Amino acid sequence: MRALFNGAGISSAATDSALANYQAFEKNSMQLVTQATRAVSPRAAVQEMQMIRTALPGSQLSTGGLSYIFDQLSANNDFMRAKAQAAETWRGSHNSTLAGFDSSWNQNVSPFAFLVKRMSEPDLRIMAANLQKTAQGRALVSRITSETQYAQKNGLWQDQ
Amino acid sequence: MWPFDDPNQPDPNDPTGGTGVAAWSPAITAAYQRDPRIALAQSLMEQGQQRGYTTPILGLARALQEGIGGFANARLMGQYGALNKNTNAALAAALKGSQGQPVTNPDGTVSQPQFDAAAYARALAGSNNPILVQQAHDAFMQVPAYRAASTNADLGDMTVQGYRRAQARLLGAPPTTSGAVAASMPAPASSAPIVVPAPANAPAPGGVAPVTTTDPTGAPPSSAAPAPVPSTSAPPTPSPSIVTQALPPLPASGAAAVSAPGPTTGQTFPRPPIFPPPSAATSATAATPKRETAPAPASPTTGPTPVFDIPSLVDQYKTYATTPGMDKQAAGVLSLIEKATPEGGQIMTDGSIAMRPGYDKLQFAKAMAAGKFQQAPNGTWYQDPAVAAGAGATAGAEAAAKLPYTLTTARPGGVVLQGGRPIFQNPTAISGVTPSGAPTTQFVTPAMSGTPNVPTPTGQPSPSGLTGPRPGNLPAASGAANNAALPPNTYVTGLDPLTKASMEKRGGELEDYGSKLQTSASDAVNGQFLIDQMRRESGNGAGWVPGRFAD
Repeated sequence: MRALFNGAGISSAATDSALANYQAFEKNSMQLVTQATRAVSPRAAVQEMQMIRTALPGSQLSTGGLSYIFDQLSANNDFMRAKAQAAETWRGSHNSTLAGFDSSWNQNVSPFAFLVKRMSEPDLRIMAANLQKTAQGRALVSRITSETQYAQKNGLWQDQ
Repeated sequence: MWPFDDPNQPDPNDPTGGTGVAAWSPAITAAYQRDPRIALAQSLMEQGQQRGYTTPILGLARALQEGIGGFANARLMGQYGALNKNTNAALAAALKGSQGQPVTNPDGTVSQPQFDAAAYARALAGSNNPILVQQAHDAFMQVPAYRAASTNADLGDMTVQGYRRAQARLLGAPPTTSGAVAASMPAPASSAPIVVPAPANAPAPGGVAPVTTTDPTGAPPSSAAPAPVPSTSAPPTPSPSIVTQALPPLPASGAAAVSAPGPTTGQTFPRPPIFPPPSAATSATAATPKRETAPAPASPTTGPTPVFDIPSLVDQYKTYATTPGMDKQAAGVLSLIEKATPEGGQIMTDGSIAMRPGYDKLQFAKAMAAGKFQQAPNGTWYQDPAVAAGAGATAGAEAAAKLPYTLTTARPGGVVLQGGRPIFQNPTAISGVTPSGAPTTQFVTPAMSGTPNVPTPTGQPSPSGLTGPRPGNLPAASGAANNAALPPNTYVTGLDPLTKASMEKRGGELEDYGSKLQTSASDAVNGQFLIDQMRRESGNGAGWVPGRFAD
C-alpha cells in the first residue's frame, strides 16, 4: 500500500505517520491474539487464532468499540495488579498466609470498580443514567458504589 | 539536800562524806567518838535545846548556843568524813600499788604476780595517814627484813610520833621530832588542829597522845614531789596517794648499821630507806616473794590483765585476814575467791588452782552411773543390757505409734501412703491416639491396692476402687466412633493425619495462589502497556481511522 502511495506521488509525512501507527497497532493487536491464544492452547490452529483475533480489539473495530474494549481490558489489568498488592497486604496481617483472602476480596471488590475508574466522564454518566432505569440496574449501581468506596478506602487506586 | 533531789544519790552536803558515821572505818569512828570537841559541841547543843528560859535574851542565847554547837559538830563530822575518805583512798591505792604484773617465765609459762608486802607497807607509810599507822606497822612486820631489824620497844608506841621514831631508830637515823611530823602533814583548813587519839586496840602508853594529823580537807600527801622508784623487777604502780622513793639497801644481816641518809628538814617528811633492794632481800632470807626473783615480763603493758585473778585475791585475803579491822574486806575478797574457784578446783597456797583430789574420779563415777554402766571385776566397764533393750523398745513403740499418721510417697507412680496404705496417687499420663489418628494424652488414676472405702485415719474413705478411665477400659476405636466424645481427662495433643494433610495441602495451594496472583499482576502490567500503546496508536492524531481499514 505504501509502495502504491509512493508510486502515485501522494505520500506525505501525515500518511507515513498514519501508516506507521496502523502497522504498529496491527502488530500489537497480534500480540494480544498471541497471548490469548497461548492461554487457550499452546498449540492452537490457525482457525483458533483467527477466531481469537476477531474477539480481540483490532483495526476493524470502530473508535468507540476500541475505547470500550480498551477500558475493559485496562480495568482487568488494574484489578489484577490491585489484587496482588492486596494479597501481600493480607499476608502481613494474617500469619503470613493467604487463607481467607480470596473470599474476602471477591466479596468486596470486582473489576467493575476499576472499570468505573477507567471510564470517561460522559460514558460513566450515560451508564449511570441507564442503570437507574431498572431495579437490577439500581442494584448494580449500589454495588459499584460500595466497591468503589472499598477500593478507594484501601488504596487500590493509588497506582493508576 | 534539796528535798526533791534523787534520794539515791549521796548528799554532797553530808558531813560524813555521804556514807554516814556507821560506815566509817572503825578507827575513824573511834577517833570521832573520843574527840573532846565532839563532846563539847554536843554539850552546847544540849544546853541550847533546854527550855524554860525566863527572858527572851536567855532564849536567844540558848538558840545561839545550840546553833554554834550544831555548826561545830557538823564541821568536825565533815572533817572526820574526809579523813575517812582519804584513809580508804590511801588504803585502796596501797593495795593497788602492791599488785604486780604477770611474769613470763623462760619456759613460756606465766606466773601470776605476788602480793608485794613491802610495797604495800611503803604505800601505807607514805600516805602519812595516822589512821593507817597500825596497818602500816603490821604490814612492815610481814617483811622479814624489817621484822628482823625491829625490836619490841619500837613497836610499843603506835602513835605517829612513836612510829616515826621507831622507824628512824631502826634505820640508824636520828629520831624525828614532833615538829617535823607536824610539818609533814598537810596544813589544816582551819587553825584548829584535829586531835586524833590512838585507836582503841592499839597500845597507847601514857594514855591518849594527841598528835597533829592531816586535815581532811587539805591537800593529799602525794603532793610532795615523788622520788624515783627503785629498780625492782616489778615496781608497784604509782598512784596519786602513794609516794614512792628510792630506798637504800638494808644490810643482809638486818642490823641497824645502815648507811641511810638522815631525815631531811623542812616541809617534806623524811622517809628513810627501809627496804633493801630485791637482790639483797633475796640473799637475806628465803621468804622473799617470788615476784622479786622472777624475770621481768617482756612487755607488761601488752594485753589486758585480769581484774580479779585468784593469786592476787589470795594475797589480798591473806593481808586483810591478818590486818585488824579488815575482817569485812577479807570476807569480801574471800567471796570473790570462792566465786572464781571453778567447780572441783581448789586454791593452793601460791594462788594457783588445782583439781580437788578425787574429784575427777567422782565425776567419772557419776557419769558412768548416769549411763547405767557397771564395772566388771576385771576393771572394764559395760552397760546394762537392759538399757539398750529398753531404749530399742521405746524407739520401736514410738515409731509404731507414729506410723498411722506418717505420710510417705512411693516412686514411681507418686503414690501417697499413710501408714503403709495407699491413699492417693497422682494421675498418670498415658499417650495414645484418637480414632481419627490424633495423638492424645490421657491422665488416669490407676487402681490402688487396699480395701476400698475403708475409712482412713482422717475419717475420709479411701479413694481406692473408684471408677473411672483406666488403662484397658478405654473406648474401642471404630469407624462409627470417629466423632465420638473422648474419655474424660483426655486431651488431644496433635492433629489427626487427615486434618494435618488437608491443612498442609491447603497451605501449599494458598502459596501457589499467591504466586499466581503476582504472576497475573505482572502480566497485567505488561498487557496494560500493550493496551496503552494500542490506545495511543488508534486514538486521535494517529492518522488513521479505526474500522476504516477493516477487512
